[in-house]
Amino acid sequence: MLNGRKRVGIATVALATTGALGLGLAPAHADPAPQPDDVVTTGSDIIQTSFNFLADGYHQLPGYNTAGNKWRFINFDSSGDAQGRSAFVDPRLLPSIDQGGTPYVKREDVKQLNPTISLRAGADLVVRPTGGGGGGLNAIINDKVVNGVGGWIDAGRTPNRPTTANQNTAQSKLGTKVWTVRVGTDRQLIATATSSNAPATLTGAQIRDIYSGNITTWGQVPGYSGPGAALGSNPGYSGAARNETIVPLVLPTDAGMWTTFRDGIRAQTSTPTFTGDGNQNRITVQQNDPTAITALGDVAERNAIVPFPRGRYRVLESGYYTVAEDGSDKTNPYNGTVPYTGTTGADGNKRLSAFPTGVKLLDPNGSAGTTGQADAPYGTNFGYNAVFRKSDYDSNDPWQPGSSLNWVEALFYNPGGPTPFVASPAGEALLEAAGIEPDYQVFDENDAPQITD
Amino acid sequence: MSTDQISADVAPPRRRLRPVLIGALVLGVLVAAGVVAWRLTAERTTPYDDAQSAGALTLCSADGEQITGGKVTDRPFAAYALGETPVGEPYVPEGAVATLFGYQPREGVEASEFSGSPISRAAEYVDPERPATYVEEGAWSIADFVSAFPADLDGYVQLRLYLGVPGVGTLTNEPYDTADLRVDGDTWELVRGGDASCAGAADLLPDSSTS
Repeated sequence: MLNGRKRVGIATVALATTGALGLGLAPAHADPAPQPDDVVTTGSDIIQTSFNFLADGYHQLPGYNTAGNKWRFINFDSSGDAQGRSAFVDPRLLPSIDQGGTPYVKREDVKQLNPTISLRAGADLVVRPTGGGGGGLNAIINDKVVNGVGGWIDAGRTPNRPTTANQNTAQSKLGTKVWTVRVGTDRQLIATATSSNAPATLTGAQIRDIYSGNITTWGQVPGYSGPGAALGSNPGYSGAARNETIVPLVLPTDAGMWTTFRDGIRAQTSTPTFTGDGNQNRITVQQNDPTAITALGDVAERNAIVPFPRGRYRVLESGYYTVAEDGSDKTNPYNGTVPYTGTTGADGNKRLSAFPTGVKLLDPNGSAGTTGQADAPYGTNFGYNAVFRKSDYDSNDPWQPGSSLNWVEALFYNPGGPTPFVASPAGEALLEAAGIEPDYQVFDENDAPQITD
Repeated sequence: MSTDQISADVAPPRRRLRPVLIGALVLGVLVAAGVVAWRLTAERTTPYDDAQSAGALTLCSADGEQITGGKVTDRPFAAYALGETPVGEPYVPEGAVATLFGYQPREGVEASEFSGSPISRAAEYVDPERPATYVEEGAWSIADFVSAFPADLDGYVQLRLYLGVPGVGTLTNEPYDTADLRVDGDTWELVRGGDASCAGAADLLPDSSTS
């Protein structure tokens, strides 16, 4: 009985290059083994940070699991790394050898790990579902139950909503179609080096023309007025920068952010045939990695541009991500037997934050829709979605002990009832901490909006 | 019948009644005072114990008045929640925040096993000795809470004020302040809570203008 009151730095180091430092790195944290009624998501790396925050909180902001309920909200990171680096070297990023007109990558250069996880406690391992397309949307619609095995993924993280074909596959394999909850909106912008020759902004049409190969030098950009200058602000500019070659960085063709980029340019410039691979000076890099720019040589660095999500940039600015080595090949400052030469944080933490040093965004605060506005600075919004089975939403099985809500109602969608966590004040605070705008929307199996908050 | 006779006939009963009336009056005053004191301090018994509960939460309205009850559909059901237990050692209170959570007491279940949910967003408070948070209009009402977590234990709902500090997280393993509500139909009453002054509550929360 309760009777009355009881009185009882630092970081100037750029983020480790995804490809180079990804070699053989262990995952950033141990993966949990979900219990039977835990809610499990897999998929997109760009979305994973926000979902990790929603689940477990960030700094002093509480997440869903902070309440200490019996069943948890668990997110498997896309690659096995909490900051989204690849746990293996992507062969597409390696130098290739021309053999009779066919490019080959030397086998010894490929260090492939393909991390594995157990999607439920006690279950055999599976290769980790990775990426918003394959590991998010496709993973859940292929997560059928056979002889009682499967049905382990509750929601897929993906920037793309299901197509009709996806819905038909889901119906065939899962016996139900899928619904989508968009928890927030991010914006893809153009990143450059802080010392870039790029102007203050580049329009959608200019980006289209650069990636198509119709513009190859800065001087060919209409209105170019010098490094960092607003377009048209100095029509007589004749500096050397105007003759330097633009280096458009492209992303792997199956990267979610490359799809977002191509779709964004197509929509903004009304160019449905845009492919983005027409510039001979292009270099393929890993998505969402600022060192794609800073790891380039000096000349290429100051002339490089790359599509980059603002949410990732903001999280980098917050210091959440860490540098993975100290410059002397020491990767683990907790290992007391190996001298660590890196600088520890002012608060004594044995880590170095990885800031987006040397990289900036063009039009960083833009937010307006740009469809059909070819002359507006490039920017395209994209959603942070969770795709789940309609049958889970329809379920009468309460999730937490004592509760009346199923897990979809508790976390994602509960029309007419208590606001689900992702749309609650606490959830929105976490989405903001993840660098995106809370933007709650729901779409049914026909992609029809159900609610807009 | 003379006037004197009348007076002589009536007077004795009045003299006998006076002590009774005075006693009843005193008793009534005492009862009323007790009720008022009981209401003010909300020192009442709940059918569960929470060993981690360190102090009491005071619920306040936006205009600086204590709130001891209301309709379950009130949104927000209180503008502010004031605690009295600061962040303890070894944590540094600079940048500390407070978040209001709701919990569902259940028969035979330890308080540490109650199911619950955050209700407010985390709010930074200015006085390290007086943790506080605000409850936005978008936060769950009491009706929302009992819809999600039915108040099956005699109508009780527990509120907790969790504190969090940068670089550490939410201090759910540390002592926290609580208040206990009881829901009855479409109303709720504060069964156990604090009696801190609500005057100036907003001043404890520099970002409370959004509430």
